[in-house]
Amino acid sequence: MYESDKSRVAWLKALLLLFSAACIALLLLAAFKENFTAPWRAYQARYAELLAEQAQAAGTAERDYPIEIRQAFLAEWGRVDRCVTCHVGIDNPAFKEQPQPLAAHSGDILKYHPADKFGCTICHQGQGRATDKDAAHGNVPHWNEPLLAGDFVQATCAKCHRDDEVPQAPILSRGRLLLRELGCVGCHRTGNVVAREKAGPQLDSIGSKVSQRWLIKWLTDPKDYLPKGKMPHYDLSPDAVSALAAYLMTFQNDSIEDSPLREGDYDEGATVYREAQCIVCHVTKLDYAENPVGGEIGPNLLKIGNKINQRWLFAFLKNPHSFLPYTKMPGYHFSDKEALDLSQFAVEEWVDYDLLDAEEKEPEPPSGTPEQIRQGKALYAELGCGACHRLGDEQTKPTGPDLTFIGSTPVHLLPFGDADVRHTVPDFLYTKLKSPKALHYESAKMPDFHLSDEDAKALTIALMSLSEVGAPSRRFEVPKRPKIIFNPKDEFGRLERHYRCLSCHKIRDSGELLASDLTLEGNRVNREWLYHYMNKPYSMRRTLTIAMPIFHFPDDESRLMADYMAHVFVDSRLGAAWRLIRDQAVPQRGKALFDAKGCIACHQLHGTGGDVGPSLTTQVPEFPHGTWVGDKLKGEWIYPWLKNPQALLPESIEPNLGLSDQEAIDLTAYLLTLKNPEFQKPAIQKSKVQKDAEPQEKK
Amino acid sequence: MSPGQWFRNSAASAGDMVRGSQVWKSVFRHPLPLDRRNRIVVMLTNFFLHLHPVSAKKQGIALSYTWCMGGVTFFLFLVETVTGVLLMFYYRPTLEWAYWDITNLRDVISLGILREVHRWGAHAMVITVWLHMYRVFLTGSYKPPREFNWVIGVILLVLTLLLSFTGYLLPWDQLAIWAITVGSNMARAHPIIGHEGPGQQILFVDGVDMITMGTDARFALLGARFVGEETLNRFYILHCVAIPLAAAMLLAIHFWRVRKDGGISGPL
Repeated sequence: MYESDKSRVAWLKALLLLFSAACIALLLLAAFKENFTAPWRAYQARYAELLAEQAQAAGTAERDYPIEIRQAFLAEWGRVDRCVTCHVGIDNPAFKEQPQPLAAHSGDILKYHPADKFGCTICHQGQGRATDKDAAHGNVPHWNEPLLAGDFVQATCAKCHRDDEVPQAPILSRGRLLLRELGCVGCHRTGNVVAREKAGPQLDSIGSKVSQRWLIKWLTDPKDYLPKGKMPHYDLSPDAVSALAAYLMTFQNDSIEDSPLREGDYDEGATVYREAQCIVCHVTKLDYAENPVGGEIGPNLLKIGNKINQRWLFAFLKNPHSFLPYTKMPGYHFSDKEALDLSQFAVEEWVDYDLLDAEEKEPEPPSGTPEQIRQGKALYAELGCGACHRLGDEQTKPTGPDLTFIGSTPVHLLPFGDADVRHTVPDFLYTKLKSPKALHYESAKMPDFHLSDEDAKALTIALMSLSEVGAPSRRFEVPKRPKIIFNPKDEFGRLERHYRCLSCHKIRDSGELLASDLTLEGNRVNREWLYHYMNKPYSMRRTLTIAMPIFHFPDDESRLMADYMAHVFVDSRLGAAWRLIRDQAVPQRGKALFDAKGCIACHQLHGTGGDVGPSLTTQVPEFPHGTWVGDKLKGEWIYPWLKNPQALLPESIEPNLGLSDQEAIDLTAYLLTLKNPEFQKPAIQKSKVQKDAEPQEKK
Repeated sequence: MSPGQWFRNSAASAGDMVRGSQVWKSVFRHPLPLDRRNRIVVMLTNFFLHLHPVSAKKQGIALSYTWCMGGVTFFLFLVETVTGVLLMFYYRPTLEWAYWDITNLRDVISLGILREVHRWGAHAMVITVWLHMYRVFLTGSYKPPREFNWVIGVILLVLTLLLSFTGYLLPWDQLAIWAITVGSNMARAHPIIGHEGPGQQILFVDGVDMITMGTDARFALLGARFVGEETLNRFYILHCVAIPLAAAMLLAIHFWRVRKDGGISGPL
C-alpha cells in the first residue's frame, strides 16, 4: 500500500470515528432532553414551589410533590388525558389567580364533571395523550379535534346533554333554535334537530297578497325591505327574479281577487289596532331614536302598506289560520267593519311614502310569460324554496348537504377552496355561515343570511355539536326531559288553537314565556277573577305595559276557559300544606308582620307604597272595580309563594324572607282579607267542563 | 520509571493475569493473534469469525474499494435488532393499542427516541444495501465464482425491503393503513395467484374459481380481504420473527460464502 493511501485511510477512519461519536452524542442529547428538560417538568417544579410557599404561609407541613406524568385514564371513553401533567393546579382552589398552565379551572363545572371521570378532552378537545403543548392542544396537522376556544367548548356538551335546550350551554341552545328558526333544517339534515314547521310563510295566496313589483324587489334583496327578516339573500340575476316572481304571482286566491274593494275608516281602525294589542307581537312604530318598537313574534309591519293587497289583509284578519295554518297570530273576532277599518289603518299608517312615490314613477312590471313561469317553477325547486315555504301540495327534498355529523367531519374533507382561514371545522363553518360564497365555492347554493357575529357563532357551535363522537355509554347521557306537549283535543284545545294562547303563554312545556305561565293558573287565581280578566284584561292589571289583547271572547267561551283553567291547570300538591294548617291563621298577626317586614316598600296598599312589585289594591279612578290581591290570588298559591318565591318563579325578584310556617299562614290570611268591596262577584253559572278533559300528555 | 512506562507495565501485567486465568482460557483456546499462525487459528476457532476469510488482500479491504457498505449494513441490522427487541417490550399489535403504544413512546416513555433510531436505521439500511450492491456491481464481484453469493445478496435486498414494508404498518396510523392497502393491491394483480392477475383463470377447476378475493396471494398477505387486525398481526410476526430469522440465516450464508468463494474480491 502506498503512503498516500495509508494517510487517506487514516483520515477516513478518523472521519468515521467522528461521525459515529457525533451520532452517539446526538442520541444521548436527545435522551437527556426527553427525560430532563421537558417543559412540563418545569411547570410541575413551579407548582411544587408555590405549594411549598403556600404551606409555609399557612404554617402547615410541606409535602413532597413528585414530578411525574399525571393522567386521567378514562376507560369508558377510551381516552387518556395527560393535560394535568402541565395543568397541575386544575382542581386546586388556591390557584384561581395563577396564570396558565397552573390556573385552577374556572367556575364550578368540575364539581359536576369531576376530572377523574370526565378528563379534559371530552369537553375541551385536543390531544389528551400528548405532553407537548402544540400537540396536546391539537394544533398539529391531522389532529381533527383541536382545542375549543372560549364559548366553542359548548359544542361538546351535546355529547351527553342530548336535549335541544341545555340550560348550562346557552349559546348551544340558541344555535339549535336558530337552526330551526332560520330554516337551516329545511335544506340540511341535522340529526336530532329537525323541523317542526316550515320557517317561512305559506305561499298559496301570494299572488293575491302582494304586488308583483314588491315581490321583485323582495326577491332581489329581501334585506333591503326587512333588514332583520329571516329570508336570506339569494343574489339572483334580474332574469331569475322576474321568472320566480312570475311563477309565484300565479298563486292567487280567487275569492279575494273577486271581492269588491271597499274603503275602511282609518280612525276606527286605530282603535281596533290598540285594542288588539298588535304591538305586542309586531313592530309597529319607531321611537324618537328611530328604534323599532314592538314585539318580534310576528313580522315587522312598518312598510306593509307598500307591500300588501288590502283585500288580502282584510280576508287574513277575518280568518288568519286559513291562510297561514302555522302562524302564531291569534284568531280575533273582528266584525267585517273592524277588519276593514284595521286593514285601512294598516295600509295608510304603515307605509313608506318615499318608496311609494319612487315606485309610481317606475313602469308596472309586465306580467310573466308562460316561459318565465316555467323557468320560475324550475328555479323554485332548484333553490329549495320549498324548504321554508309551503306551496300547494309540493313535496320537497333537502337540497343542501347532510350535516348530521358535520362536527366530526375530518378537516381535509371540507371544501376550503383557497380561502385564507385556519383549516379547522369551526373556522370553516363560521366562514361559510358569515358569507357562503367566501370559500370560493362557486357552485354553492346557500344564500346569504346576513348573520350577526353572535348568531353565526351560535350556529357554528350548534353545528359543531352534530358529531359522531357521543357518550360511550348511557351512564353518561343526560336523559332527555320528556316534553309535555299541551294539545288537548277538547273544546278548550279548539279555543286555544283559535286564540293561539301558546304564542304568548306557557302551558307545561308548550308555548312561549312572553306572558305568564298558565301551568298552575288554577292554583294561583280564583275562577271569578279569571273570568273577569278575560272579559276586561285592561281593567284588571293596570301595571302591565304590555297587556293581553282584547279578544272580545263570547261569554260562553270565557266561562269555559275560566272553568277549565281553574280545574285543569292545577297541581294538588301545591296547596296541600296551606289547606292543612289554614285554620290556625290569625290575620291580625299577619297584618303586624306585613308592617314589620316593610312589604309596603315595594307593594302599594290603598295608594301608598313602592311600585317595584304589583299593587295589592288596584286603585284607578276610572276602574273602580279593580281587583285586590284577595280577589285574585288563592291561599294555596300565596302561602308557598311567601315561603319561597323563587321555587314557583325562578326569575322573581321577590325576596325570600325566611318566614316560619306560622308567619307565612298569618300573612297569607291577612292578604286574603284584602278584597275590593266594589269587585262584584257575579253568580257565574258553571259551564260544562268535561271531566275527561285532561290535557293530552305526549312524550 | 516514567509514569507512562509504569502504566504500560502494569497494564501488561494485568493483561497477563487476565489471559492467564482459567476463565479466559476456557473461552479463548489460543494466544493473542500476534503472529500469522495464531491469526489463522483464532479465525478458525471463533464461532463468529470463522465465517470470514482467514486473510484478505489489503487492497481488497481498503475503504476506498469496499466503502464498508456491507459492514455498515450488517451494523445497522444489529442496531435494528437491538432497538427492535426493546420496542417489542412496549408495543402491542392490536387495534386497541397499536397506535397509542406508538404515541406513548413519543409522549411518555423514557428513551422513546429508540423508536426514531429504529426508523432512521431502517431507512439507512435500505440505502446502504443499495450502495453495497452498487459497489459489488461496479467491482464486478458478482462474477463467477461469486455468482451464487450475488443471488443470496439479492434475496437479502428483498428481505430488507420487506422488513421496511411490514414495519410500515405497525404504527397503525392512516398513512400506514393506506400505504399497506395500496401496496398489497400489487398482490391482487400477481399472475396466476392474484385474483385480478393474468392467468388467474388457469386455476378454474370444475366451474369453481380457485383464486378469488378470499383465496389469493393478497388474502394470504393480509389475512383478510382488507387491512385489519389480522393484517396487523401477520405483519408484526413477519416483521419481528419470520423475516429477521430468514435474513440472519442468509446473512450467515452470505458471509460464509464470501470466504468460500475466495474472500473479498481484489482490484484487478
